[in-house]
Amino acid sequence: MPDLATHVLAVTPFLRRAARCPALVLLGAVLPDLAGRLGVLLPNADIFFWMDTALHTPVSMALIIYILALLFPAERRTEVLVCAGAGAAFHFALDLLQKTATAGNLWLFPASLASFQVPLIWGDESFFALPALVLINVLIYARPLAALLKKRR
Amino acid sequence: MLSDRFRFWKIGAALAALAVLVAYAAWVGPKAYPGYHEARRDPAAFAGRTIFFGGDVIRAADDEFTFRTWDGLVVAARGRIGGDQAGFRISGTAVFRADGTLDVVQHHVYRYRITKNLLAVLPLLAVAFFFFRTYAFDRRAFVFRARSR
Repeated sequence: MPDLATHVLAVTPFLRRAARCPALVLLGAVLPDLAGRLGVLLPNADIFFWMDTALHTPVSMALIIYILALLFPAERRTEVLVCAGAGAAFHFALDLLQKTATAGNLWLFPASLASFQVPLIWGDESFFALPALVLINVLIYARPLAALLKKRR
Repeated sequence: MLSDRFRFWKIGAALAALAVLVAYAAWVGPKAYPGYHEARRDPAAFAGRTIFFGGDVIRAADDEFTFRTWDGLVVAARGRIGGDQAGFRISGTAVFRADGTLDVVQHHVYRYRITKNLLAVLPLLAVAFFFFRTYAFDRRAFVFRARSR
């Protein structure tokens, strides 16, 4: 999977369109990688690997976001599902583009253990895209940020 | 589905479903994607079959190398991984031999794994900061509420 900086900076350009819930979109964008890491304390790395793999799937993420939604007041739950779901979908879209040397992402789990990717970049090399992503974010947010700072003065 | 009715039961059911998914993956995963440990438990059955492997490279020569698995097993493998790769994580697929050695089919050396992990810290802190600046957890009601600006 690409690094979290890439995941976050790839989704931030779209946050201006998600003005109602940017924090939830960002949380959704990092949630797939966080969920599986819960097993890092397990003594058996093979079980950790399968825990990480199982939780890093669309079905598991739907369940996790459902739990997250239930931790918000009833009137905001649909918004949580949509916003965190959009962030997670963006995360998976980026993960789809990575090369894998072992079992990749099990997109159809638990119905199928088949793995398919559009192999463009290795997960540990994704940060090469960071300068371009930083530049895109600066171009998008420089003007509104300057206006905000001017307003505060 | 999203009402307050049986909220904690719904959370419990979703957590139980996640636990079942993890257990199912740990049960069927090694059968679909056998790794070095599965092969080592039954070398005769796996001899000549392609398996998945992973570990930290200990030593790399021209066309052979050794790596250490997560539980300390040192494995000898034949394959050209190039350059000085000692200390880096490697994973890939290989043909398992009955003597426990591997003939590498394809591999990747994760030379930037530490950089990648370090790069995860800042965005995690930023997302956590942004989230908890936007929402506060109401312990009594057990829900996140938007902070008033």
